[in-house]
Amino acid sequence: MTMAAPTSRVQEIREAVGRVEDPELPITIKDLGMVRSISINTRDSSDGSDESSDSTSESAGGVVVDVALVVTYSGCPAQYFIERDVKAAVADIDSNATVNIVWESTPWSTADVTDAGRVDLADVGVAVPSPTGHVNCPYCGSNAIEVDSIAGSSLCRSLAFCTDCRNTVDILKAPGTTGYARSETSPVRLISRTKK
Amino acid sequence: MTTQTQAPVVATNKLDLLRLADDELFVGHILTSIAGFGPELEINLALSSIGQDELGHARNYCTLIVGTDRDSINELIFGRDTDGYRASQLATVYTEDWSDAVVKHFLYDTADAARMTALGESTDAELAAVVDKAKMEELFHVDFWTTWLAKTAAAGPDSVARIQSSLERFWPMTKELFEFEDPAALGVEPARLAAAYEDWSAATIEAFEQHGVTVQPLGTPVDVRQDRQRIVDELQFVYREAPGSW
Repeated sequence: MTMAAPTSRVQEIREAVGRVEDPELPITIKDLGMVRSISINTRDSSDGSDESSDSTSESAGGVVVDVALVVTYSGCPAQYFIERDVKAAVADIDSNATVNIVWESTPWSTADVTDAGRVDLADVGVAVPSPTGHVNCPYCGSNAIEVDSIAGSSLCRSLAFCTDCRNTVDILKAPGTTGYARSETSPVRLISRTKK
Repeated sequence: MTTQTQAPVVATNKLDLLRLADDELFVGHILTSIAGFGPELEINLALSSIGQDELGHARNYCTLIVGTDRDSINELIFGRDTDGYRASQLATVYTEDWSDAVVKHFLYDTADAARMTALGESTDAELAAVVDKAKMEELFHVDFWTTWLAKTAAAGPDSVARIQSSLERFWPMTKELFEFEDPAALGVEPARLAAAYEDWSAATIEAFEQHGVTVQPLGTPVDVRQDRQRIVDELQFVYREAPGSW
């Protein structure tokens, strides 16, 4: 018989996975849009079958955490580090939990980045293009962005320069990008210098 | 030479997937190896980005053969004898000069994009999904090499002559990129691949003619066995020096 689900534990695990950071950018994998689903179940110790989702039992065979992730780019060198960090994050909450990670081959796009993620990236000078592919400077909001190279310092970034505030800018690159449009929108200021 | 062979045995109906994986593996290995020798910083960034993409595609094809376990993938990629690698001849050419690099990768990436369009229609849903993700990333590769073929050709008669020379050596290797042992195992009709080749070939001949380069009839491909051995030696160096410790 399973006991009532300790909802707090389920929540704790979800939050721990959500806090895992991308090794190449100061942003969580959740805000980067890499987490497709987290499912937390209990395994009955007698037959190993899964109980209903989001229920845990301290007396049963243990918690099983299924995490579906998607990589930004097929060649992402951080893939196995992220896998390791997700497992460690769950183990910090429940060292007996079993973690299964599935890498989905569905596409990732910059539209998957959350609003909070856009602010986190702007804070370190990485601009996320708008859904129409337009880019504003993460420092001054200007649309005077000149792209130096589509290929940048990592697979998911392009190299650019703001001719207004004269800062080097990285652009979060979406798969399939061969160029960026100059933004027609008025200056957008995403940066939050209030943090820390 | 046979030293250690730990690679998993690949089922006959997966050998074409292994071909696709090895094509991307060899191209990715060579591009990431020559990154640093490009004429500009931005080109070197692109060489390593494109190479990394191809290595990622190789890894994804490998998951369709041995599953997602990291050690199994490593053993498949690094643990084979030289003869066990099935990469196409063009993928195996180890380019040492800019004209060769531009022509090889223009041919390879445009052909790869063309065959991916056919493979994306595969009845094998897993293969179609892997190809769909890769196809997005190939858009930049095709754009990059198309741009650099045009820029290189525009540099003058000496450049055009170099491109002509590279093309004469590589063109005979291109048809193989569309030929598989058993297209049915990939979930694709042989006629679909043949049509993809015909369309690609016509478009490519036209592209080169625009730059003043004439495509010769398919002749005998050059021998790439030395290049294959060099790639395998480089690929497996760490795997053999420090087995099991990485």
